[in-house]
Amino acid sequence: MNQVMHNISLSRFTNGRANLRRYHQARWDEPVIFELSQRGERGVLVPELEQEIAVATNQALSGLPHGMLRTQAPRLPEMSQNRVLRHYLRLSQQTLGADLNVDVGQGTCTMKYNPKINEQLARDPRMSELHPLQDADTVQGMLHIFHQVHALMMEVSGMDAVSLQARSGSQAIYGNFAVLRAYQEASGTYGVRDEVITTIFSHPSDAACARLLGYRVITLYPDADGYPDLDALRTALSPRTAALIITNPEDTGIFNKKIRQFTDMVRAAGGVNIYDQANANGLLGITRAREAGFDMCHFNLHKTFATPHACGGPAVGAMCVTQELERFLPSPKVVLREGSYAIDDAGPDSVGKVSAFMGTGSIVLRAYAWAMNLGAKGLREVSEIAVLNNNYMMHELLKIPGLSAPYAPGKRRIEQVRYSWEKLHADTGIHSEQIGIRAADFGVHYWTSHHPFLVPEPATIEPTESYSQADLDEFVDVMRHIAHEAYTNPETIRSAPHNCPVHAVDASVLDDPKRWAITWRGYQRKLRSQEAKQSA
Amino acid sequence: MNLRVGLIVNALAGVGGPVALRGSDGVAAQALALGVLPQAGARATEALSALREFGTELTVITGSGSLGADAASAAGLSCKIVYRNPGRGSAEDTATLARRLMLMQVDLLLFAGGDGTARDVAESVGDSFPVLGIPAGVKMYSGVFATTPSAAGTLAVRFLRTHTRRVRQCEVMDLDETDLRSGRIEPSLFGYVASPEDPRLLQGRKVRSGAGDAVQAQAIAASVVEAMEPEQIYLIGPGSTTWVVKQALKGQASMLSVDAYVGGQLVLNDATASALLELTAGRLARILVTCIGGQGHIFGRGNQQFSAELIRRVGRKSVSVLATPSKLISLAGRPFIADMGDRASAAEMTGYVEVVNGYRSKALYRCEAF
Ligand SMILES: Cc1ncc(COP(=O)(O)O)c(C=O)c1O
Repeated sequence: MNQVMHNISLSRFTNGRANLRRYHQARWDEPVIFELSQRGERGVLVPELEQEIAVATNQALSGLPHGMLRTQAPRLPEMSQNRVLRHYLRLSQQTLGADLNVDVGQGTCTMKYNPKINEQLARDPRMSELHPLQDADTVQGMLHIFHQVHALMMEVSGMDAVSLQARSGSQAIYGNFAVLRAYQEASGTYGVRDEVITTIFSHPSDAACARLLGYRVITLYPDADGYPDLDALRTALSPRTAALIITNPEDTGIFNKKIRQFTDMVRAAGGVNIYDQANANGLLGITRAREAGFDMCHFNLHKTFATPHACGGPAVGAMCVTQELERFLPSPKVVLREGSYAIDDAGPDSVGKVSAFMGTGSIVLRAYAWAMNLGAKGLREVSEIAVLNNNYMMHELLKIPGLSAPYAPGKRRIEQVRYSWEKLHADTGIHSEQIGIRAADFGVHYWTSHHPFLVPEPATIEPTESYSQADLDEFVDVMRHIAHEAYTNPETIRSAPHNCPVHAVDASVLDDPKRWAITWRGYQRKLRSQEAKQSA
Repeated sequence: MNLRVGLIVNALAGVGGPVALRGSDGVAAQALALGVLPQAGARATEALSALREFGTELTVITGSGSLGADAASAAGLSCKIVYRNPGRGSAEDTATLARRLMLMQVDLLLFAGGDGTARDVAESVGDSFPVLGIPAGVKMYSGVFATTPSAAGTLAVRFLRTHTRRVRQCEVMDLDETDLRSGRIEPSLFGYVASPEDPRLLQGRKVRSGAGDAVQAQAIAASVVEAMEPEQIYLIGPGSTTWVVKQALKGQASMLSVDAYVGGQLVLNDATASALLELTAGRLARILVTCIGGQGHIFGRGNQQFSAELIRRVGRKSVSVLATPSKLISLAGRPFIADMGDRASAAEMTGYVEVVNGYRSKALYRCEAF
């Protein structure tokens, strides 16, 4: 080996094991794009209108109601193309994106690899240039794919009918509650049965969507083993019970083997069972919502089915229901009639639209490509590897002093684990959030848990099937290193990050309506009123 | 930045504990004679050392010697003395110094002591001035104490760093030490102080709740008030969460009393146990209480007006506990406690109790009774 290669391998490995990465994030001090605007600067010079066209189009706006015409041009940033490109490339270098890091630290989100060939398919003009108002005759291929994905979801869930209209998991949950309400209205129980039961470890959107549709929410706490408390469910059930909504496994990754007892009890009490299967990554081909006694469920295609999360969407939440509830599904729907596909209005019982048109077609296409590539056996293998990865990682992580996996000691978990740094915190004063900030110094992302923190000092880690043993080891090594720092040199953690451009962010502004600004215009308004106050 | 942190050390806090004197009021001399070394100063220093990260930006305002200056210097912080007393420190000293620190509007008042010290501080500064307890006493039933001295330091740093300086109302509880020494345990509620809200319970990166405990309490109150039946009697216990409900109804009640309402109107103010029995005879009644943060008591602490007989009559199904999600989580999975002192009412209270924890939102939570 030559000297240079030898030095590189010395610096990268110790005893055959990779050293922690000497990562450093880029820092560009890049302003907000509005601040980069230069008056008169242009990315594209649009040619002057030819006389003939100008004449033909000068009445184009006359059909619009007067009140809808803007009086001022939008104040968009004025910039050349290369400056725009530079701006976004720089910002992209200041993130820890899914394709850049071993993204297992964002538990509950199923951060698996999104194959790039599926991006290519989605960007193919045959997909990207479709218009939602095109005649059904001209989009038979796309409708075929919708139809196929319906069949796929039916097979994976055991349900009888599917809608792919919702553009996020939360929208699908909302959609499922809308179906519940429509069903209740049709059967005369709406307003009489007005309580929805959920658990504290279910996703916060479950309770939130129920409340949005006017339901009262009853939350169950876990029993000592971490399972939702069956006795509490018994107490909660009453003639006012409308539905149960639950995840399984919950965020703890513990599978609730008594789930059928839960759904049977709810059904016996006259309630409907809804399964939040946003994340089904440990269950594909192994268990199904139908056999567990559910009437409805939903899948996040942007989790289990390997499509991008896309910064909070657009994505797809696939709503799946039993035959009894089919007529309430959103409109329009895709139907196969006499050998060709049609887009039909879903009829008078339908909840109508939960989203515009048919939903996010390009995501449906990606999920279809992914699933068809794997086939039925492959889908099951996905889950098996995800579960294996998770249990391997739990086994390695639990060797780290100060870390534990509360509830169900000694039991294996499904696709993720909610860990607790409670002991490390008691010993060193270091919080889980601080560990997350320090983790970024090694180029990995890390997340705690939903609010509120039922598990103290939580960390939620979900390895999925995408990462290799070496990837998982790298993440574990980072955690081990940080835990060691906490016990030996906590100051390094308290003053982190050291290798990232943005230092301690004062998150308190996010809780302070007087200081937050959600839009550039809002920011300007607050700034101006502050300046006015100062000069007064 | 120029931060000013007030500090009061009750140097003798905790000395009764190691010699099983169950408290230190009036028995300090006895304990010291038995060779107990006071720990409160060292505990204060441990908490204060977290504040070193503010460097010269922070000054500790305190009393001389063991009242605080010693602990501040030992932690390497610069301090300013605003009260001098050559003695060992007394309830008098705590109260006077606390009042001074409040008048000076320090950013946060830290005190090291136990429930007795918390009471002295609470009586001097009221329920809106930010106070945080460094645990150093024998009894610490009050919610104002951090779990450990270093946790107090971390919490203080977080509080001083944030712009919003959000506080929540915490119970100040105390046992009568003479009773305690004779084996009776009946802490009562003495009042409330404002204390930094632990941001750990609030900050999740994926979902950020903009609603702190105060907003949640408003949501709970709105939900309770909207669901009130016109004919039913509502017996509302002491507490900061129940106080928000009382404020939404008509009539002059108080945070520390049990009050009765019918049709949104106060009908019995500061009721005694017998008055409650008389009022509810033969009528439908519902009891609204809160739980003691971190401890979980819903009956038998500061609300003994709810007698065993009343509980039997009203029944568990007509009891609602008003508690924010963070208050429930502060119980770390432990059940509610109903300290009834009567077998039949204990049996009645054992099981699941309804908790109102938000707008149109309930939880079912286990209650154990004895
Ligand atoms: C179990 C569960 N349900 C629902 C959701 C909400 O999905 P989305 O983020 O697409 O709205 C998530 C994702 O965070 C989830 O993990």
